[in-house]
Amino acid sequence: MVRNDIMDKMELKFSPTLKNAQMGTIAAAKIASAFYNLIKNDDPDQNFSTDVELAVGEACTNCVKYSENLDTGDKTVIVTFETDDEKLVIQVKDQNPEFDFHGVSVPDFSEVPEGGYGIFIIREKMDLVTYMHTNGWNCVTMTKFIASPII
Amino acid sequence: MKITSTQDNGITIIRLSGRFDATVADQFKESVQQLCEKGLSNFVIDMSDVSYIDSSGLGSIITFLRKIRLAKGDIKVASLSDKVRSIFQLTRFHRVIEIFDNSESATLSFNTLHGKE
Repeated sequence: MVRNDIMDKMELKFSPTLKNAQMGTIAAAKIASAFYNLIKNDDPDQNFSTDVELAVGEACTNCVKYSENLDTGDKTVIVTFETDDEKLVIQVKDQNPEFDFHGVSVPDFSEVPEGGYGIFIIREKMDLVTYMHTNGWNCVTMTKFIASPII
Repeated sequence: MKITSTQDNGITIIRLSGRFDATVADQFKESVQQLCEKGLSNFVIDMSDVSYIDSSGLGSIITFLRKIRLAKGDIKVASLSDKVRSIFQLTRFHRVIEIFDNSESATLSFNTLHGKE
């Protein structure tokens, strides 16, 4: 396959409800599976799509859980998928207050906490994870590389 | 997610099917609360038909586990797919809750513990 330097882009936009977050998560898994299949020209790698599904699921659920206007529909979550020949880049954006993403530490497993695993799971499942807050938007950017990039 | 429960020799088997995520975590908590109010204390969660679990689903199991262990009972999980099992391992839940290949062996482990074999 010829390397394509221009990234293809898709976008999902929805109001912050758990049901919408679930549908966004399912869509992310399907897109990841299709992307892997296209690039590798092979059967989809279940681990690739499963990892993306989990990471996007946790990110989207956080958008809803921390929304100040839950289910009122006056805020927006945007999930953007960009692909090239070696990676899938997913941005999850919400309009919630800025938070200390980088200060979120690994859960204390010895305490078996009931929550606080979301960002840990995102970091574990994706290859690169960054956070920014600009113009009123939280933006978590998650990158997953295809295991063997085409050279 | 569909939640059903049956009894087997004093053990309550909870069977889940579908996606166990934030959309159904509260539903799960309400369902198991109703079982707790009946005085039941030993449970097997059969997850053979669970296609996906996220941190909210796991958290609701931990909430349930804490409550049951306070009541001197226990919860065991059975029939995890590779996908679900990997999340249990990633979050170290496999260290605090016993995992069995199927609900029969999980149920049997209670009976063995209680000297019923």
